[in-house]
Amino acid sequence: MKKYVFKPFRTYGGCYIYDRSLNTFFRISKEEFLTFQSLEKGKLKSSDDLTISKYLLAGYLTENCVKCIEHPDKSYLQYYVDRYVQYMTLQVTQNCNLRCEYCIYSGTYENQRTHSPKRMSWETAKKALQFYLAHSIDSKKIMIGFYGGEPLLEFELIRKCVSFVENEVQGKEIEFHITTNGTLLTKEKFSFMSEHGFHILISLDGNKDEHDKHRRFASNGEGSFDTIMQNIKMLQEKYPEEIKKVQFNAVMTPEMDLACVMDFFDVDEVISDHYIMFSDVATGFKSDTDEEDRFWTVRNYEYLKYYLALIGKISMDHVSLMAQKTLANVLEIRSRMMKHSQMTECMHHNGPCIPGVRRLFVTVDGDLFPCQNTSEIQDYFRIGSLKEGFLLDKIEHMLNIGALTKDECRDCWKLRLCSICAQQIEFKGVVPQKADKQKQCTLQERIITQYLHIIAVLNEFGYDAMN
Amino acid sequence: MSNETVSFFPLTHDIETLLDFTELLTVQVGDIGTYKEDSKKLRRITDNIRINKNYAPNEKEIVVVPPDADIEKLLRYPIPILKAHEEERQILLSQRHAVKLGISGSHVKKIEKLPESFTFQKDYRKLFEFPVPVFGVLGTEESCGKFRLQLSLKKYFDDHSIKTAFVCSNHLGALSGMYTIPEELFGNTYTFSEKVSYLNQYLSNIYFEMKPDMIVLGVPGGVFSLQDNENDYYSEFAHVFSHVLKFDAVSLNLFRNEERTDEILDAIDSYMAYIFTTSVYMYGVSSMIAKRINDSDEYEMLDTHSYVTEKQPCVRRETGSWIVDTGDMRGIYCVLDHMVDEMQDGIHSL
Ligand code: SF4
Repeated sequence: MKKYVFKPFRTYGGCYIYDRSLNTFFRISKEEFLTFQSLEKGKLKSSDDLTISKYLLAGYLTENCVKCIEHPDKSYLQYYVDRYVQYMTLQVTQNCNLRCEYCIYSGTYENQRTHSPKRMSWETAKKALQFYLAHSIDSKKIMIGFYGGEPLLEFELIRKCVSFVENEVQGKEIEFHITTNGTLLTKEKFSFMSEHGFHILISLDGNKDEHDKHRRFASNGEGSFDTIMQNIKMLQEKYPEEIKKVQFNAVMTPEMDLACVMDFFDVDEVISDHYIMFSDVATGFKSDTDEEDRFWTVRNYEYLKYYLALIGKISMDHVSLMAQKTLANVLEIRSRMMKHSQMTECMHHNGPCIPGVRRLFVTVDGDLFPCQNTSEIQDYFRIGSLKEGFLLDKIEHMLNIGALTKDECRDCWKLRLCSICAQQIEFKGVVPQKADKQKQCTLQERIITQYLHIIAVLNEFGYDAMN
Repeated sequence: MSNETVSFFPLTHDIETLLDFTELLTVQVGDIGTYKEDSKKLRRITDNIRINKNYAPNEKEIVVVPPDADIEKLLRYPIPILKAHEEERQILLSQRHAVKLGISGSHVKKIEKLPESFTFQKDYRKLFEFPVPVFGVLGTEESCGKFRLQLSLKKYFDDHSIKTAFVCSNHLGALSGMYTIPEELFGNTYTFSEKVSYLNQYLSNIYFEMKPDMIVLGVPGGVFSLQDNENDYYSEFAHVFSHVLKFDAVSLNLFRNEERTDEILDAIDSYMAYIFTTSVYMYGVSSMIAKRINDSDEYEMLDTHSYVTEKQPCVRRETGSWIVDTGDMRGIYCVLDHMVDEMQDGIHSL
């Protein structure tokens, strides 16, 4: 086991050492940087070195105390699944009226189901709702999401679910959520949803050309942009206040003309006042485009503008929403590091939420999964069913995914910044193996190193988080 | 209040705790009602208490709204309380709840037990020194299971017929005969030094009313703040009490999922010694856990009481303090036996 866990790194402006024991980094001299590099590579012993002693005396680089890699919530799993389920999503249908190319159900992804005419029956929905209410006694709120396919294809079922829940819940706040492609929105559906406080998320990828590249109707292959915009305009006229709460999600794909997309969300008179989220297309989407370079040039340029705005060189008004939203996690990591929190003997990397507790996804057939992003055809992710209840062993395995690489994690400099959940691990067999997970470790190395560089450079240019 | 019948709405965590100690109650328990979505909770309550899915206390029952009832929930479903109010039935609830629910009248009272005749003398500053041992019940944070421990202590001292004045940090303690801390002290009405003086006078009143051999004092709130965004009023009560009187010993409740290595407990020992001039006689490992809410900096306190399969073994540290599971009655009795023995032998500072 390593005695001290650290990572030396350098930027053009300085040399640094990231100290895992305090989850922070600090500036060092060039000479010290070389010493730390030698120590890291095992060419020098820490006990012989004065540089280490200097920092030890100053209270940095505490000895590695991590004895076990275990998720802190593992000991309370039975309690959580019995009484603390937070959010349930119902897959009301596996069908959709669109056939988006990058959709995880489009048939181009390994280990994902495809669209099907299967729908959730009222009996299953009712059982799911009862199951959720019985397992969320200690949760503050009741939060229910409707998901598909396209959930608005099953609007009558949604109505029934809403009235059932409202009748069964007296004290707790209730939140309903729906993710829709927006093509089936009508006045009647919208007014029902806003009356019942729905949080509505519409998938819209940008301007017409970009959106229609992928998001097309199943029936005739035509783009869905015009239909969605017509619906939104119609609802804006009839419900000018309520429609403001609707949010949009744009999926970014490498072949998209990002500059046009950003322009659209920044200035379009129908959309620009709404909250917009940006997400990357699911890994595994294979696009045969030679536009990828251009996509990344534009994206990186936007990121650069964001950093310039953070250090006060340009106004944040010139920075696209896309950059502000997708880079929020850099600042989040920075604030986590600012806490300088101590390590404990038993630790686990970030990433896994408690499967089935933070989110519980119920399929049309009443099978339980941790969320809508996990594969429905890999049994590993099936954490139970409405009939048999939760399968605790499977939940525990997924939660405690750090155990797969426990020896590596104990000594890994990234332990406190790493974020890997079981759903991200691609594997072929029955359960993921260490080698499968280590592919994600490589990716984490790249991401975290990049974050550290960004934060260090921002500091060099006087970024002040307080302002 | 004794031999009267009370009914509870809604069923909260503190009521569930209280009902684990029915033998201590000075009142009869009638109906217990709660929100429809929580009806599964009702099944856990012991057989000797009547449970009605549709809350319907009979006319003679006093309606008690527990202080830990979530006000937002009460406002969403106030029907049972408003009905009782309309019928002018006796209602016990906190001032905060009464104001939010907009109910008042001679039938509306606070849940409390105060000494017979107490009036605060604002300009009288001399502090009374208590001639009997004082044991403080503290917790690292708000909601870390002190109420359960205070009920266990009450049971012990009752069982051993030790004449003890209990002042409970939770107003529900009044239903098992414990004095409570006046609600007005929880607000901004008084300055820090006035609160010190007030509490000293208040406790001395209890002392002269009861002439106990010992005082057990539950301190509201916590001594540290776990939350970045909340400050637990900067542990105000713990600081106030450390000036009100000299604790001879204290217990400190820890969350079950809190680290408790020797290094950490040693650091807590020194902190308590410096800040509160007292040693920790007993660390209580509570069934409460502090759960970080998703990725935020906030925590939610959850009770795993009925899920604890492995009790924290009752051990004495080299420093002399004990670690005991607050759900382990035998462990608590064992620690208190030692404490009482040491008190009699004069070994411990008690
Ligand atoms: S990168 Fe891999 S070895 Fe390192 S902490 Fe994350 S999971 Fe563990």
